[in-house]
Amino acid sequence: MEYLEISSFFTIFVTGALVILLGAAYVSVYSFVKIHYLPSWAMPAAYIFWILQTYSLYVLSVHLKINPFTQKVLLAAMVGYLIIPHIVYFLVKRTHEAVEH
Amino acid sequence: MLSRVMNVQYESQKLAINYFQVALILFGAQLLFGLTTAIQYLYPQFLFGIIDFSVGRMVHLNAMIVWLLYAMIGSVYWLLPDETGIETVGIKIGRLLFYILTLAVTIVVVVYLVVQVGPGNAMSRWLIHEGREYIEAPRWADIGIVVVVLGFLGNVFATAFKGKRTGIVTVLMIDLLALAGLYLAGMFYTKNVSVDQFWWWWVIHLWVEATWEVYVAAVIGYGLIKTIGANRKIIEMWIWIEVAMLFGSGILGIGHHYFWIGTPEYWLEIGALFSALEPVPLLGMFVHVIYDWGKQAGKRTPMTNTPAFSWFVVTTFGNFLGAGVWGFMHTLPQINLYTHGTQWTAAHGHLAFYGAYVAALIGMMYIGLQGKYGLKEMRMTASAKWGITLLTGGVLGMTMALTIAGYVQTFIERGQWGATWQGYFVGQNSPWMIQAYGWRLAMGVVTILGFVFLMKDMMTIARTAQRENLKTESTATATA
Repeated sequence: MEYLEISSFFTIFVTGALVILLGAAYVSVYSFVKIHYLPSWAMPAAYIFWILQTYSLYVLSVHLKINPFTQKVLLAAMVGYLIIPHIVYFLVKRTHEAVEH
Repeated sequence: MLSRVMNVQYESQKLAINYFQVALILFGAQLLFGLTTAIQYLYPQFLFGIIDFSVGRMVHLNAMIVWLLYAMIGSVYWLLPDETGIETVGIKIGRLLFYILTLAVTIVVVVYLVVQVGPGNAMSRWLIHEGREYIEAPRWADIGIVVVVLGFLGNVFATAFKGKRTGIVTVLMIDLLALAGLYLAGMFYTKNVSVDQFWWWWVIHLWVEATWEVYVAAVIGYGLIKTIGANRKIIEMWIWIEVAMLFGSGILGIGHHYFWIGTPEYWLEIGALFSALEPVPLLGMFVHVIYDWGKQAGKRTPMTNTPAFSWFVVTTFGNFLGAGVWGFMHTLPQINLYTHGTQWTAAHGHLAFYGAYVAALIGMMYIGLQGKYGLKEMRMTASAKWGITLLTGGVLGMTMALTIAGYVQTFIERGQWGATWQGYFVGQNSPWMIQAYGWRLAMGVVTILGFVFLMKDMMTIARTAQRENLKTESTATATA
C-alpha cells in the first residue's frame, strides 16, 4: 500500500462523501420517476448521477493509489450501486401488488 | 378528567416503562459526561483530579451503551404482548432481573466515579473495570449481565413459543440470541492485545453493524405498524430482506477493524470489499422509503403518534448519513491508515449512533408513552418540536465540528508529521482544531438543551394529548 500525497487529502474526503451522496441522488431520482413524482424524461438524470458517482470513485481510487484487487472491489461496489435500486424497486412493487390485490 | 394513571394492560409493558425511565436517566448522564470531556478538550485543567478525561470519557461511552441496551430491552418488553397476544411468560422474573440489573449498573457507575482506577491486576478487572472501551463493566458485573440477559431471553423465547409468533418476533428471537451470545466474546481476557482486540471487535462491530441494525429494522417495523398502520405482510417481508442485506455486508465488514491490530494482511482486502458494500443496503432502504412515501401520499392515512413517526424519519436519514456517508469516507484501508483513531472516527460515531439507534429508540419511547396513558392520538407539542430539532441540530453540529477536527488532525498530525508524538501536539494546537473543539462544545450544549425539551415533553405530552382529545370529543358531541 502506497502512502498518499498531502495534496490529495481534501480530494479524497470530498470524493469519498460524493460517492454516497451521488448514489443517494441516483436512487432518489430513479425512485421518484418510478412512482411518477418526476416525469419519465428525468430518468437519464438518475443515470448521470450514477456516472458522476462512478467518476468520483475513479478520482478517489486514483488519489488512493489503489492496488488491482481494490480496483476490482470498487468496480464490484459500483455494479452493486447500479443494480441494487432496480432489484429493490422490483421487490417492493411486487410485494405491494401481492398484498394489495 | 385528565389522568396520570397508567393505563397498561400487561405487566410486561409496565416493566418496559421502567426500562425506558432508567434509559432516560442514563441518557442524561451520557450527555453530562460528554459535556465535561468536551470542556476538557479546551480547558484540560477542568475537573482535573476529580473526574479526569479518561474517567469522563469512559462514563460517557458506557452510559450510552447501557442506556441503549435498556431502551432495547424495554422496547421488546413493550411490543412482546402486542405481537404475541399474551402476557410475557415469567414476567415476575423479568422484573426481578430489572432491579438486579439497575442495582448493578448503579454500583458500577459509583465505582467508576469514586474508585476510578486500580493496579493492573485481576482484582481491578473483577471489581473496578476491565479497560475494554465501550464494555468496561468489571468481571462480576459482566457475569451479572449475562444472567440478566439469559433471563430476558428466557422471557422472549417462552412467550414466543406460547403465544403467536409473528415475523417481527421471529426476527427478534434470532437477533437477540446473536446479540446476547456475542457479548460472551468480549468476556475472556488474554495477555496478547491483538487476540484480545480481535474478540472485542466481535462484540462492538457485530453489535452495531449487524445485530443492532437488524434489531432496529424489526422494532421500526413494529413502530410503523402502530403509527401509520403499515401493512404487516410488507413490513415483515422487508425485515427479512434487510436481515439478508445487513448480515451479508455487515458481518465481514468487521474487516475494517482488523486493518491495524496485528491480524493477517488478507483482512485489508476483505475489509475493503465488504466496507465498500456496507452502504448498499442503506441505499436499498432509501428506495423503499421513497416508494412507500409515494404510495402513502394522497391517501389520508391517520397518523396516531406524530412524535414517534418523526423520530423514525430522523432514524432513516441519520442512519444513511452517519453510517453510510461518514462511514464510507474513512473506511477504505488507504484512507483509514491516516484517519484511524482521529476525531474523524468520533464524527462518524456521534452521527451513526444517534441516527441509527438513539432516534429509533426515542420513537419507541413515545409509543410507550402513548400506550401508557391509553391515548388514541398523540401529536407534536412545542416541546417535542424543540426537542427533536435541538437534539438533531446539536448532533449534526457536533458531527460537522468533529469532521473539521478530524480533517485537521489527519492532515497535520498523520499526513504532514507522520503520526509522531510531536505531530500530535502540533495538530492539537492548530487554530482550526481549537475552533472545531469550541464548536463541538457549543453544539454539545445545544444537544443538552434538546434533551431538556425532550424530558419536559415526555413528562407533559400525555396531559396535553388528553386535553386535546377531550376537546375534540366535546366539540364532536356539541356538533352532533
